[in-house]
Amino acid sequence: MKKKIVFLIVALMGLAQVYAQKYMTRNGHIWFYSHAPLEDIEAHNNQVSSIIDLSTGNVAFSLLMKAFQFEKALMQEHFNEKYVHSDKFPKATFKGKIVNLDGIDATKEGEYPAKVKGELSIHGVTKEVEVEGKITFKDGKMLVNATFPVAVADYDIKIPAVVADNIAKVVDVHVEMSYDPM
Amino acid sequence: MKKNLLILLILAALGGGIAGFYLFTKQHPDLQDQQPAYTLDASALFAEFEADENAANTKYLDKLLEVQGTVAEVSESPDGGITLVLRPEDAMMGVQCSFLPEQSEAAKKLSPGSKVRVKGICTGMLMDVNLSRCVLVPES
Repeated sequence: MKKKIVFLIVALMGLAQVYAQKYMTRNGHIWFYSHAPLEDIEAHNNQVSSIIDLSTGNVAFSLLMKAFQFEKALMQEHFNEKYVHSDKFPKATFKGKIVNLDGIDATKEGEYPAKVKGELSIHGVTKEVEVEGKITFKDGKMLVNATFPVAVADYDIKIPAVVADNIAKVVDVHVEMSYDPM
Repeated sequence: MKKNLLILLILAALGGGIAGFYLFTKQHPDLQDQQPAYTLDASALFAEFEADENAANTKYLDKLLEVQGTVAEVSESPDGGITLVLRPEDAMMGVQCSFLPEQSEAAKKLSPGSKVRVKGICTGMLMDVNLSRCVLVPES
């Protein structure tokens, strides 16, 4: 009898291991790329925190605006002080849900298309967005890749007319994450 | 007289142009040579942010900090930059130090348990307190 119980407990623990479906990272990489007639600008942030729960489909991302690194110091200063006002709005967040959870099987290594719907908050403005990307399971890690456009005007970010040819009205945001199971 | 004025104007325009060009192409300063605004323990820095995030932001944001602590995690971001998390063994969160990919060589060789001093620009708190553009401070 005792043996059976022990076996049951071990089996249950094993199950819990296999279906540990919460994944987390604190150093994801998000970068954006602005293509304009006069110059191309990119900025990288490799301190993105994110949790994805595959049992519910819940997805959460957060990052610090000041952690975006630009090639030129002055650009970084202007970005923080004049455009996104990161003293007042230090964080950007995304909270949403994976829409096609049924098509994603964490127990099988491989690549799965994923669709996420949720709320993106930048510069104190929150918008509904829908993003398509892919989830890959490999070597015990979960990788997430996605690219989506962000129209800066949607988030009340004002670009003065003088630099209109230097900064794109729509920037491409790239998401590249590597999660560990929790 | 008019000629002098013209020359003066041209010189002023030239000077302005050079200053503008200098500002435009200004690179990020090399943190290795800079004096930190504050030097403190990683756990003390985290405690300050946890107690009052707004006050800590006012004090530390955009400042160069030098922190000392024990490495709990060494991990690589998908862009190739190394991230160190400094925190005591019994703590959940601490100070996350992010190295640019081109500055990551030395940090890559560290392992959990090592004691380090790191300089970086404070960008605020998410789960951990975050430092960006970090460099290792050699033990003197």
